[in-house]
Amino acid sequence: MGLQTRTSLRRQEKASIWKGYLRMEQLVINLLNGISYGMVLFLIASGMSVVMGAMNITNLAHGVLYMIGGYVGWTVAVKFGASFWIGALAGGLAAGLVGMGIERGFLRFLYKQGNEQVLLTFGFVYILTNLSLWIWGGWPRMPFTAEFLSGSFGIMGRVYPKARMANIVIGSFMAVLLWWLQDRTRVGAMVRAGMDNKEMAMGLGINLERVFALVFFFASFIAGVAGVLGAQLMGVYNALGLDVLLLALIVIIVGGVGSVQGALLGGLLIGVIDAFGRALFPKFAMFTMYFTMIVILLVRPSGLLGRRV
Amino acid sequence: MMQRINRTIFNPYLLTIAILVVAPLLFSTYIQTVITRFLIFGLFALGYNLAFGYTGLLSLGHAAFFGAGGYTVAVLKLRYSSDLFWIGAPLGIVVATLIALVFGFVALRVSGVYFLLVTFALGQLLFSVAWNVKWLNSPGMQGISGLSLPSLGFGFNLGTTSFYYLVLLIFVICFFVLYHVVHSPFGRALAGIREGETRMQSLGYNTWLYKYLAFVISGIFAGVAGVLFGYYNYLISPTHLGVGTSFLPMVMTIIGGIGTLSGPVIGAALLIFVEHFASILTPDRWPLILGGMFVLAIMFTREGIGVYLWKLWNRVSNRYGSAHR
Amino acid sequence: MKKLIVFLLAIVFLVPLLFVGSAKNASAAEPIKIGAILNLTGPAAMLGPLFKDGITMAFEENKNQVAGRPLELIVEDDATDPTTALEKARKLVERDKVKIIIGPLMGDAHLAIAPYLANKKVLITTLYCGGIELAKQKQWLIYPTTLEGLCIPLGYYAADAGYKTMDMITSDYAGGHGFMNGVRMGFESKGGKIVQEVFPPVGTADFGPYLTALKPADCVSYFVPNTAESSRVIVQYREFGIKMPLLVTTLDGDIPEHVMKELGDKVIGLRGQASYIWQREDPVNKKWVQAMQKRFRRMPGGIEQNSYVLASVILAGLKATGGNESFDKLYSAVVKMKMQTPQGPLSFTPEGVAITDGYIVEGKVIKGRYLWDPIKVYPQVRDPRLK
Repeated sequence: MGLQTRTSLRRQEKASIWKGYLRMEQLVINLLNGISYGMVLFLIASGMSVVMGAMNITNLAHGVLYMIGGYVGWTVAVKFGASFWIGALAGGLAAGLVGMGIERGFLRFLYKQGNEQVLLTFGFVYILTNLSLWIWGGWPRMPFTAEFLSGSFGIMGRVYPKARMANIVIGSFMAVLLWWLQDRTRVGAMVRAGMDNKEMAMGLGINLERVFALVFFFASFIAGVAGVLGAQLMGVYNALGLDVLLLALIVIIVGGVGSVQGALLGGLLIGVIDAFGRALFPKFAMFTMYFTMIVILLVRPSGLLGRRV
Repeated sequence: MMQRINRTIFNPYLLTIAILVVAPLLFSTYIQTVITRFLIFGLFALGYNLAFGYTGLLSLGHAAFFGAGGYTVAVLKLRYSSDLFWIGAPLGIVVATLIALVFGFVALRVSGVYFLLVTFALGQLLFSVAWNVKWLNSPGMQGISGLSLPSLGFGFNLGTTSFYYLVLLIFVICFFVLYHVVHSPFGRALAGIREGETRMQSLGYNTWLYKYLAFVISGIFAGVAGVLFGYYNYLISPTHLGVGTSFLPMVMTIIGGIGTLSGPVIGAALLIFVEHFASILTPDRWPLILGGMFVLAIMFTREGIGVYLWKLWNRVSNRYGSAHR
Repeated sequence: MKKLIVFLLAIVFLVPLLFVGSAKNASAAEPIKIGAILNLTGPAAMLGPLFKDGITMAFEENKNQVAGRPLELIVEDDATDPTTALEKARKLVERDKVKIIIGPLMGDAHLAIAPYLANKKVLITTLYCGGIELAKQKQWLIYPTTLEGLCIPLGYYAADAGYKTMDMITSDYAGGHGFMNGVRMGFESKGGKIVQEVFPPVGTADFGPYLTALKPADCVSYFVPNTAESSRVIVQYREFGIKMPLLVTTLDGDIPEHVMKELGDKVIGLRGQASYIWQREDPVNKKWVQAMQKRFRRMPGGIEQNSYVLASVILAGLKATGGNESFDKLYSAVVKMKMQTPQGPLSFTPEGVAITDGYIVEGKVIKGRYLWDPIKVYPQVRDPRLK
């Protein structure tokens, strides 16, 4: 072996280690992308999933509530210049109020009529989408975020946006909070009781109607807050109502109906699979999501953490 | 909810058919295309209602069968240059049936809200297949364009009016068939399953088989409507397989009246005509009118507008009938 | 409740009567009817009113008449959906009996309508570029040029700026492929090499996975179909700290001034292709910008200019035929037109494809405003595949 060949071999070695290192940090970046997106999906789906499980209502307007939250949050945080967090709160409140309006004013009277409820919420999708178009116009809103979250930080030699990390942190916090509410509080216990056996729960003296109204408000509130958090990535635009609904349905299918854990698992799974799918097989982007859905459906039709059917 | 054919001369079925037959003499070819569209979607909703209204299976993926029928016709034109009705229609129906057989099998493993989600997923899967597979797309676009009204062979191409009558004929035949299905013991068993499946099971019925058959039959009718749509629309796109199109028969059925035969048809008429009229009247605010109509219809006519029309009709014709007796 | 039922019944039974009335009025009368298929609802809903304003301006400049015949504009919404676009085209042709249609915008709508109109004597335009297949029909006005033609200057510019390699991000649908194919054509014809092309699907919310997987190259160019998506690419691109220069397509439509203001410093240094900038120093343009500002109280952009020119050219053609709107006469009159438009000199190929100037612009802050500043002009761009 000559001197030249040894040097070129060493160069090859370095190159392959370098390639490996690149691959490692590429992996981490993809993972972070997947988890941050997945957290937004979790927040979107969690409210809708709990409402579906507890009240047997498929609220197709859930995506529009997300959008309204985003628009109101933008108006408060960007147009009026208030803090991002106040914007998130305002967005949540707006969505919560609209949701409560739909539930108290309309859904309440359709108590046992599941099909009519679905159609009603669908009608509100049309109405609210067009009203949003009227109020905020057709131009989309640019992604916006809090002052200290704008900009990026370095990780493994690459650059990563702070806002996405924030979504991971906030999402985790919300997951814990929601799980605590669901499993460790009286209200949560009442909701779960109502999910399992309505008549018995009512027989125990629980005012299910009031509990459900609260649940619906809260689920809508979460959707609104999710709208502002997601706006850091996606901005706000008029087609969001339907885009988000589709995503929520996919997450619920994978994760299962009725539980916060299901929405979290579904959201993270879809987020990560989607991120890796797009990075590694960019030609089959849409396929990976639907493929996952179908696999889950064949293996466990009620979703990974759903209540067994 | 059973239908009563009013045996006075005011038979609404005959009246409606009479109006529809005479329509081309009164209205322009453009209006004929609008009514054709109504008939096609009425057929789609009619078949959908067998699974939904009569058996209680709320599916959000019926566009899969509808679109499959349409795509068969489209691919025949695009890849085999044929618009022969006698090949396209049977083939389209066969394809839709096969898909319904498979999808029904998968979907009926679950029930309730999961059934909704599974049918949605299956429909979306077909959507993404149609989007991505090159063989199913005209070059340079999503979907297949350049479709035309069918030919009946020997150079006899259908025009707007003759196609209208073909669609009307098929619609009437299908309505007739469904009427008998619904009033047969099979149909009554389906109603029994909708009211209480466990009770039917304890009576010895194989409820899964009944549900499966109902689902597949409703898929077949959706396929027929889809075949007609492929010829009518000059274009088929993946959206015709997706959830946006799957919503339509559901909406039409609920507005018109679940569990009645003519309900979905009335719902189809409402949806098609109001959407058409509203989007011409207010090109930028029409979704508000449409959504408002849904909400009002649900809140004030609990059983659907179709049912109220029937009740009103019976009341009116009874008054006349008794005067004639 | 009964009143409501009666009311609803009335709708069901009275609606067909409205059609009866209009069937009787179907025969053409004095006015020249021009149909417009615009996006008033759906994902591109913000563009519809802008296109309409451009048409309105052209009509009003001509005092809403041509050769003594009043003009009648019939606006339809295609909901940014090809099936609806086809439906409305049928309505305009079969019920309103129009011979001239302006629109629609989206490529799949063009491909849906083209076979339907192929044997009908109707003059139709796209709203903003169109695929070259439409040229074969000799029925469509394609302005400012074909999809590829629009972006060929950007490919030229990248090569002229010294870049040797390029990554492309192409939205995965016909329009996306068309535009980016133009960039490729321009770039490769001057010796450039495309190193990577990724295809995010329409409606992608998170471009992260694509952006973080870009291979090193001298520059990155992209097309995604609307403001929401394009702005996401820009924001996320900056967030990931990618150093490669970013070249943007369809700037004048997708990133207008008020959007630039919201994006702020992120647009500084971005370069890209625009078919129109209001700053253009030219008497015809200055006059038009003033008129538009006065009429609509805002600065006009490429969208309004586009429909304005289309409508103006049609009206000029009608003037030349003495108000005769029949297709054979009108089409040949229109494609022979040569005009000075606010955007620059305009002429047509015999297939109806416009020949216009292409601009390269750069995002800058000028007198406290975020603006696209023109840095280069490629005159009289012509898709090389047309004779």
